[in-house]
Amino acid sequence: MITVKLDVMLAKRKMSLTELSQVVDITLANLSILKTGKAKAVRFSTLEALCRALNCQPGDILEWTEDN
Amino acid sequence: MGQKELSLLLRAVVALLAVFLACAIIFFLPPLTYEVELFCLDRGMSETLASALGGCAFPAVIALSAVPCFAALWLAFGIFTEIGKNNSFCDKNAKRLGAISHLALLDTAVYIFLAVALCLLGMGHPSVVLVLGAVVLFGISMTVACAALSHLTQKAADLKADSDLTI
Repeated sequence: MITVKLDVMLAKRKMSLTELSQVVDITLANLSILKTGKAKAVRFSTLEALCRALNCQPGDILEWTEDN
Repeated sequence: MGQKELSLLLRAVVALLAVFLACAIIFFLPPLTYEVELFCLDRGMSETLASALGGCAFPAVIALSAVPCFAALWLAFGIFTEIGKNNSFCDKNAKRLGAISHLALLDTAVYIFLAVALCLLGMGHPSVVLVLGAVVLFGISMTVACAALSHLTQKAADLKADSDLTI
């Protein structure tokens, strides 16, 4: 399964979710869905905006782990 | 017309239909029962049999067949309320439409049974059979339309959930 490590990257960049939502122009509610792993899909445009804002690679935000 | 106004209008129509149905049962069933009793006597049935058929069986079947109609109207009221909340495509509405489809099927079965029973009792007057046939056709149409709408609403609800959770 794919897990979102947005909280890890936010901690590394010392950025809050509210600040990120203002930078990438995505609502706090949608970022919260992404952060808590409830999202079913992520658009390339969203991923690009997140990578640009956090100055990281997609692999730094997304991680594949074996299903239990 | 806005979504809220449409929802309000549809709910008002459903409420009016419920009142109309209730009035039809309260005011038209007793004289109709009397007419059926007279019709039975005209057909040479004994008074006991005519009273049992016209006075008990006939009104009981008609009144019972109204129960699924009221239930379907209540479910339709729920669907129209969801439309007002801008939540038309949801699992609840798909289930409600499925339930309406089953209720329409139940009522259709009741009227098919009634038509067959009337024909077997020799009371199958062409006008009565014609009216029952129209009711059965309407019931079948409602069953098919609601089943198809239930399927489509479920698919749309699934797509909406996917879309809402795509960031």
